[in-house]
Amino acid sequence: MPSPADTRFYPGEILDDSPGGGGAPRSWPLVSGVMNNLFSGVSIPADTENGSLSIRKVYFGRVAGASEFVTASAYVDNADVGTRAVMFQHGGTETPRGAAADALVTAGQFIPKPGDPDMTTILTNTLGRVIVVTGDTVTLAVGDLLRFFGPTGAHGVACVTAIVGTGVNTAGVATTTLDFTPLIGTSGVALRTDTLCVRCEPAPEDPVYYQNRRIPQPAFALGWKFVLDQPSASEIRVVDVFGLPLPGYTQIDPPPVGSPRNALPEWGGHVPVFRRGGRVLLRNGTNSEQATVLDIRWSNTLGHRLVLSHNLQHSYGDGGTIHSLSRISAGDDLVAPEAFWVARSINRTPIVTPQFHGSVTIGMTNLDGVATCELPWDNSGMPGGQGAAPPPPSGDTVYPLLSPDGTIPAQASYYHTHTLAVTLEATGAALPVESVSLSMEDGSVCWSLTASGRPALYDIFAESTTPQLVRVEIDSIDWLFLVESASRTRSGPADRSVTITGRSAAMVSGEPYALPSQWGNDGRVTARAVCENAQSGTAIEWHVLDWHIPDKVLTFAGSALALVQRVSEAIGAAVICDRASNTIFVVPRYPRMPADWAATTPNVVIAEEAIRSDSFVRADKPNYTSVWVSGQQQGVLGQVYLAGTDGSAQAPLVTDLLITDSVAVLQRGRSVLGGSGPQARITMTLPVMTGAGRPGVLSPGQLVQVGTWRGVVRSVAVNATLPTVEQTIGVERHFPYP
Amino acid sequence: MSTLTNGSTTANLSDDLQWVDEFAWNPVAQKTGRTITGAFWVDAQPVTAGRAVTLQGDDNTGWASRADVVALHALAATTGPLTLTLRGAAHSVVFDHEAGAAIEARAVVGYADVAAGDFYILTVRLRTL
Repeated sequence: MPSPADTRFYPGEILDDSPGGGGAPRSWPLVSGVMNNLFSGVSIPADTENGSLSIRKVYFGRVAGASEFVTASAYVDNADVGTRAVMFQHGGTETPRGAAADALVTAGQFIPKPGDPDMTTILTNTLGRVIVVTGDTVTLAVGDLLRFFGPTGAHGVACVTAIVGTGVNTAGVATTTLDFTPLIGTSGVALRTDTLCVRCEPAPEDPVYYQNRRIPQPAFALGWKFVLDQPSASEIRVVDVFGLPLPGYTQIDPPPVGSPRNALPEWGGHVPVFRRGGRVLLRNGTNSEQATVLDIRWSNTLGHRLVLSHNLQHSYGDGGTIHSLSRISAGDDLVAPEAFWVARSINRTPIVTPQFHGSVTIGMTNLDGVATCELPWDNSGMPGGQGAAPPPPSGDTVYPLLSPDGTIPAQASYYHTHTLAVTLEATGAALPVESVSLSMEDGSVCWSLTASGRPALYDIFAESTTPQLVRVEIDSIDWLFLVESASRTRSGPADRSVTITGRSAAMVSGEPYALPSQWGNDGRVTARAVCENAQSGTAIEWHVLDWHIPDKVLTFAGSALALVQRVSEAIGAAVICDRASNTIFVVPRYPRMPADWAATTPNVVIAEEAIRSDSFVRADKPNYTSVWVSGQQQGVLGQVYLAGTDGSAQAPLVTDLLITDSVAVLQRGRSVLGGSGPQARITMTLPVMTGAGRPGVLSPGQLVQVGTWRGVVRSVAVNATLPTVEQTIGVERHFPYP
Repeated sequence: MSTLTNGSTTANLSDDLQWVDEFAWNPVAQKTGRTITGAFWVDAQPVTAGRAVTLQGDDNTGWASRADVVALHALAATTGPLTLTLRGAAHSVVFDHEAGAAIEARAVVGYADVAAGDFYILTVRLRTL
């Protein structure tokens, strides 16, 4: 039964107000009531006197294995005077904060309900008001462009939007209070990180850059120097900063001829004129993409707000559609995890109490109840994510591994007594087997069985007309196999050996047991539904992010199992079946990237003392830091970076018909980048230790710590010839990580 | 008198035959080795049945008549479990055809004209079930 208790809220990976904020869901959920778990602590007096707007990405997800959760409504509670919050859906899982913030400000599509914060106020918070020392010779006018210089050498351009008044400061110097909108900054200026420059390509008369983005906060401080470019090069300095809202935007387009801003050298002497249908080049740092102007929503004296169609996907992830801003409303069926945004606005209010705390509560309701999460903050100014729990070694957010966590400890000696039983599943009859080898290779879907024994095996299996199930139990760990072949060799009267081989029971979903079919999709479906609906009797446990496949994109011929493999291949996921049940797991090959392994609790700790033999083979791959992943006819295109790199080492383009969503792009990218770089394959033979705190037979996907280094188990083999039972694991280790 | 019976046929064995490997028997199978750091590992497994029962005479004791040897030899040509009654205790056994001849008999004195009463020094190899 779907229940709110199965619901989790996951924060995005990047909990700050940079344009790239947001990111993929973290693997651990928000804990209700933990201080600064999502929003940063409020900095006093910077945030409270100037106001601040924070936008955070939150994913609505559910406990692994829980049923789909249909929301009846989603809401956000504003608990505090002086704080306003709103929750909205926008873009896909890869949409960064910058795009969401822009959508929030392009508020024409946002219809607030009673009690919602006034988005216009948030909008105007972004403009600045300063009092500058004007001196005797400088006359400021609306439309003047100011060059500003920060104490660290940073500089940029701002535009005067209103003259509020003139006066004399306490030093007796003449001042002018003016409103401005910062336009362009250089690197090193705080606002620069949130700017997006737009160049108007088709208009040769305006081959210039233009800033059209909102700045989150007035980024100027006392002492900053402004230079009035025209008509004279006089300097003015900021003596005070306000953050008051600016009423009365007007559209001046094209700008007045003769405006001093036209002569600004950085702009090539012109201000661009945007037209509907014109093509523009979007720049964000070193990245660029082309887009088409669909609409001009509003403009102030200089700043246009454009609605653009993205011809190329970049980090916006919305497949060539216009970003839409819509409220999560009753009846929305959220496919977990679904991203939405929570915007918190701290009003400009004087602090009357020394301790400033606040919180918002986000929630989801359906007919079964309410799931809520309280997100408090304090006045510590600490960044968000302070209360985030460390990633658990396993749990509801990490896909369930098939064997328990544990330790193979260091001991002076290892004494084990093993049991081995091989029985016919139908009758429970013991089979005369002398030795058993079980293995799951890297990339393999299933366990393979090779068992040799007495001639009686020949009578049971050689001429069988139906597939027979065999249960292998080693130290109380069960495997279930479909016996697929029996071979016998005879030499002389007494020398007879029979060998049987088989594969895991879940292979009934594949050939030759399931006949190949033609698969396609009518209407939009999710990848998970495609895989689940194809099965008859085989359970699919889906532990990757689901994504939508548009109408009639999927075409495939093969068995139901091959279909699961095909869909999983699109996102680079691994398909592995359970040891002893008819269940298939779809799991990420890199649930954590190699760089994160050191910070992750390992599933199994192996002491070197226990290793009976090992081998080390260095197996380096190109050290890619980014990859373009593309769909085809109805797909999307996206680039996936390794965090902390410039992404300049690009892997070859990956193309797949089923890359139809940015979620798929991200997962495929992780798979490609996770497998690249310097690495080694280590195989080691270990004892099989069972009991409390012992891992038994390891599973592919487990993170192991061996001595001082860590790696992920990729292959497992068990050899049982009593009295000896050993397991041999293959481990993928990456450098330079420990 | 000890006997070896396969249900319908009974062969006689002298009580003087010695069970020479009665305690040369490992009730546990074991394999050992060293790990890469020199730790000692032992895999052990209790084993059941398969215990060797080698009944052996020598130059002075446990002689069998040729008739008994022939009867034993005929019994060894059959397969299936046998019952060994040895010193009053019954054991379910099979002939051990793997570790040499199941019935080994050497004449005490080699005569050209053998007779049923000639004595042989006997070794019988069995395994318990």
